[in-house]
Amino acid sequence: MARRIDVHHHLAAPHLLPGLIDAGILLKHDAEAMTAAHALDDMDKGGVTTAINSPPAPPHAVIDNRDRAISFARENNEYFARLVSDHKGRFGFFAALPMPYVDAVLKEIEYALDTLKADGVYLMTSYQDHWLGDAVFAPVFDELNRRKTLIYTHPLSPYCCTKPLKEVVMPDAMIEFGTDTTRAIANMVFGGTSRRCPDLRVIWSHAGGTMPFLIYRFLKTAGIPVNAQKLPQGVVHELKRFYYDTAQASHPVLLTALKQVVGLEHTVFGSDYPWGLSPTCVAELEAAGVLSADEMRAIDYANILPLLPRFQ
Amino acid sequence: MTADLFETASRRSLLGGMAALGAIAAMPAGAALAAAAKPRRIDVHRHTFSPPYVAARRASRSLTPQLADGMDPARSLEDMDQGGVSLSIMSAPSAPKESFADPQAMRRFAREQNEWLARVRADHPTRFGFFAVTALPDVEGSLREIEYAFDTLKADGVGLVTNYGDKWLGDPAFAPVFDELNRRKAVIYTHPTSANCCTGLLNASGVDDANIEYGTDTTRALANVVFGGTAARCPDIRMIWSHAGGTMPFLVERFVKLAQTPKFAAKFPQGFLPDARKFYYDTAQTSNGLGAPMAALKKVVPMSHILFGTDYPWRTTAETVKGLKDNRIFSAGELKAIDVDNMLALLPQFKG
Repeated sequence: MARRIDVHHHLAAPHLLPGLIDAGILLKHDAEAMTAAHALDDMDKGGVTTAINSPPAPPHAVIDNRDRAISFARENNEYFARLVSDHKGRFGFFAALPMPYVDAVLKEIEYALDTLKADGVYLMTSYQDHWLGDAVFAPVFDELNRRKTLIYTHPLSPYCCTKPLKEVVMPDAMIEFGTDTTRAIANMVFGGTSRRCPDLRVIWSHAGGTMPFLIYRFLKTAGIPVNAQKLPQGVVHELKRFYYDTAQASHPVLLTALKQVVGLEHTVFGSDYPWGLSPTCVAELEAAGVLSADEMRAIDYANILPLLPRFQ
Repeated sequence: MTADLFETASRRSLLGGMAALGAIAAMPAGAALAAAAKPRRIDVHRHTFSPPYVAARRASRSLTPQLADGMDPARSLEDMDQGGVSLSIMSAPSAPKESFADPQAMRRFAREQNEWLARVRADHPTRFGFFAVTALPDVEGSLREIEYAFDTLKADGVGLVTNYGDKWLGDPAFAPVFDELNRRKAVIYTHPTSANCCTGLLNASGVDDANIEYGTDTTRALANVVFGGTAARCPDIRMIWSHAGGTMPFLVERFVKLAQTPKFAAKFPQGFLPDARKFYYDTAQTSNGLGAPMAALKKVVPMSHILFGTDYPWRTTAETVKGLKDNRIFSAGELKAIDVDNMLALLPQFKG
């Protein structure tokens, strides 16, 4: 049976949607699309058998407030768990975590994975100018490593660089999202977390941000003696252990670069629903002229399935 | 190594050898000189600073001894000869950030570097050209320096950095400078620097700003010049973006879609790509990298707008030449266009 698993698929607990609109994270029509019924309709049209849900980026005001961060994570996770049981086989979820509050995060990991049976966890690329891999997050990564948890990551408007171009108002998704993913990748690799936590499985959104294009710089940074010592098998070896999704990344330029830099064995299908529609994503991937039928099948589900035991 | 790739170096030793054998008379002097003048590879991305500035940076350890030594034109010539570069357009783009708020300091920096760059070219007129420094973000000082650099020093273009503190190229504050450069149909070479928002973010992990922030800052400046309207208002400037356009080729689809949104569609009836394809892009620090950056750049911009650049003294010519070859992205004809033809079309004064 043809299958397609979408790892980059955003829904949110209905009562949280108005707050996300107010914070500028969602437009009204994005929020309107974020119901299970609309999502299932899009999945059916795009041949997506299963979508692994995660919420949109939490607003900075949520990240900055411990109680709000905790309730944002918990309420979304309860909602996502209900969707899993209400629509057997169609939905999984990556549990939101109340980052950067490490003690609360450890509690939510336990609850979400052990009680709610999440398929993995959802992390933003940075929180308050601390990127994934920062020493302050070490207890979180050590716990996720111990559990061999699948980590799905997503960029946000980074604190350092929210709307830096004052005269040209463009969404941070244009430039800043891709860059923040690249920063998180670099920080995980060169900061030592990826070596210290060898059992982590990490998915980077949007074909790795801009990392594949900046690979020459990564190779040079890895060649500096102090870094070379930390990466005995080289930087590409570390980068190939990660997974990369195709959300907003079905353009031939990106697919070609992924293929050149890390190969396609860890490339996984993502739509970015409701910002991307799955039939469009499928059509664009097929039209890119980069992927063979076998590669397409692997991206659709075969590459990710070993990491999602619930759906095997 | 082929004779063609290393023509400058081999010609020098050949001439020396032939002279020693008394065979030089066998070659028509005019033909030898014409051959000598004809560029074989032009490096658009090569740096030097004035000796006093290099000394200060060496003393403050913001340049390693190796990099400081590399700022010497004699060292540059050695590297050029080893990599078959006959001509380099020198630039001193990296103005000290702490001086951005001090117009007098920016003016002094620009003048000192421009006098130095002009002297380097005068000492080796067939080997070096230069992109003049402006006093940006000081607009008034920049207009005066542009006049001096073009009319008195005969600069080959100007060199700008992608941002000056919190303002990126394309910012309305810089409009008088771009309008003047447009009037002069100037070549504008640009070089990234990390912006105030994003300096030293990953220091703890040993990841310097050049790794990620430089590429991103080029993309910000390029987007600001296009979507802020400078590119349309100043159709006669010719802009060169360093490092294969930062990360623009990788994010191109996002820009294509942005230009189609209601906010921009009326201003961009042809979309984003005509503007992106009018710019020029150099190969510095992107020549290899498993082929990814050059493959992406080639897909997004015309072959005729890709220029050879090394980033010496941070990278050598030989490494860049090898990278471009090892990629297997470009045919021999395309490599020749990158090496010399594309740049000569932009700076015909070096046709020789």
